[in-house]
Amino acid sequence: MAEAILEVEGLSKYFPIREGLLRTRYLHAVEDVSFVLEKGKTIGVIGETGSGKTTLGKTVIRLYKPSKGRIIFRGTDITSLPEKRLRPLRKYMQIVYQDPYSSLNPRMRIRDIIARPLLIHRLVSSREELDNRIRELLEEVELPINVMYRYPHELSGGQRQRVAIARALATEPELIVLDEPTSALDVSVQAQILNLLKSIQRTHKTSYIFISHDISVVSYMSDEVMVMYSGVVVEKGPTDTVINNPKHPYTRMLISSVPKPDPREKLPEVMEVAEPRLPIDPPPGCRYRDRCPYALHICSKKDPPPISIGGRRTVRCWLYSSEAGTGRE
Amino acid sequence: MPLLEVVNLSVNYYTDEGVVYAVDKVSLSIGRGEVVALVGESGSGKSTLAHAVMRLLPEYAEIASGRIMFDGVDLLSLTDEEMNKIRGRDISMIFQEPNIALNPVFTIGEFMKDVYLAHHPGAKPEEALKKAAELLRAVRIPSPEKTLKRYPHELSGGMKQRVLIATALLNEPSLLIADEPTSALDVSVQAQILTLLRRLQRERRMSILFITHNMAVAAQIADRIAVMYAGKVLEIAPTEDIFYKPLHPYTRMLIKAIPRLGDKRELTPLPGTIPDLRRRPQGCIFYDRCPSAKPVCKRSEPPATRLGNALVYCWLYSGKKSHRRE
Repeated sequence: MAEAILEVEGLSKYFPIREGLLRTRYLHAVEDVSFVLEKGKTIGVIGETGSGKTTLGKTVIRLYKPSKGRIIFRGTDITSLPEKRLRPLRKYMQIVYQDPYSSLNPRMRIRDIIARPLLIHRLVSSREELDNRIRELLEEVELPINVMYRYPHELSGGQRQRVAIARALATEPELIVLDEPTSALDVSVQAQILNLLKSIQRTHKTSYIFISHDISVVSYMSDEVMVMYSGVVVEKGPTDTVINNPKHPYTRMLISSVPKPDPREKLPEVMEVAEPRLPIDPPPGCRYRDRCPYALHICSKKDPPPISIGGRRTVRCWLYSSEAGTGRE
Repeated sequence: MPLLEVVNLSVNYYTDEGVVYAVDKVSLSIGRGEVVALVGESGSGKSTLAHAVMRLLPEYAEIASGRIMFDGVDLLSLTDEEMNKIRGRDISMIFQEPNIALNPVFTIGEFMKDVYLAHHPGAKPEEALKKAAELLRAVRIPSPEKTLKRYPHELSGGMKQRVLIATALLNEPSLLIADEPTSALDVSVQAQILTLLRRLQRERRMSILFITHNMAVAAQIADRIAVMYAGKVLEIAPTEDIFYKPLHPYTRMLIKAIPRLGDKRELTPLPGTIPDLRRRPQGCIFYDRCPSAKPVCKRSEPPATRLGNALVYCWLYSGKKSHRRE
């Protein structure tokens, strides 16, 4: 078994929502998520608006403090580590965001944007070393060296995203969270960036958490995928099996909604007109039950636990449990 | 006679950094009841073209040449007043961001009523609201009468887009221009909206000019696809031909760059970036990135060549028939 870079157990993240003077309700943005990420592998997180995928990505690298559960990174429990002790570990975990326009400081030149993490973590000891490292990084992301002296607004979206990747690589991280890294880019540019990310992974054995609403992109990049709905991972397993043989009703609906680039494969007319409700102080039961055509009585009573269905796959759905009755909703 | 015929249209933007040739001598036609998708990446000019047809270009834009024939009338020859009658009635438009079109201080009912009354002067408000409810039902919004009393912020993104589609259909347009209508929506909501538009289009025999950067979306709804690049149309063909027999090198590369569900084969990206739209090269606009480029491609712009039901602008297909290459 390959080395585990990240082990997440029962991770939950709740956000307080103040209503009036006395009432505080909680948004259960992430609920009871567990997974293991091995060195050099990619785990994909698929979900639509409100699924909690971005919150999960940020919580795992401690940009948020977890409400429940544990995060073990490189063998160290970082769940409640104070910031001072966390700081030296931060160079091993980085993040690349979706928007190449707002993630780079518009008032800094590219050179200084990439230099910053190197200086903060004191990874270089001379001006010369700094310059060499910056050149090395720009070359790795296939940008011409003269880009160093430019400002972000002078670069295209694809070029800016390469800079964001170079910045993330500067500290030689073992884990990078990629939150919709290509969603704002054209298809042709996206292909360039995805191939670059794959090549970096092959060279450096970096582990990725790849978050996207674009199922085709996630499945292209990931070894394993987690499908999230309303804060919960409803299905998890090797990419090929989940995509080709989805088990959870939500996963099935989602995959059947992806338009194929083939006019002979038309989407069937979708009758459903429902959209998810925010999980604020959610009642017990499966969060998908209101939309699920197969909902059983138990689905509105008890949260389905992750059920193993073989092949390293788990599904949170009472349909797959021997415990559930056959009573229909 | 086609419903819409764009003939040799050129649109320029006048910016601080110079003139930008956003659309360059583009010709395109849409038949009655036909859905044509305009597919292209950033800078292709597809959105500019759509706004030009509606005569909704910003102040700093100019239609430098060409004609826009709608039902036999050149829209560019109309006065503002005459165009206002057509816009919102015979030609309707829906955009990507529903929040921009919906005024947050008005209810859905007030909004739709205004749109109806603008083109039916003298009609009673009750008539407008009745028609509005009818259309909300057609777009499958649950509880139409209740929805009319709601404010935009009370609806989800998908619901808002349905309201805008319903509003666009209020005055029974013969042409609907949809500019990236599903790009801001979740994939499951997108599937709902696409299949809804497809059904409404069939029922009403409405023409649609559908703009998108997503070829898979175009495959779902279009009868024909026009591929645009840096201000020019490179290929126009029936949808099946575009996917199964793509002619232009750019079309082929675009199709190879799309990630397909379940396919882990390495994607073939297009190297390079789009050219500077402030300069028009002498030859083919795609010359710099084309793997099949020849010397003639740099010297002169390729003419249109008809091959079956397809129209392609590429030197590979022009000249003697014996030079046709696959």
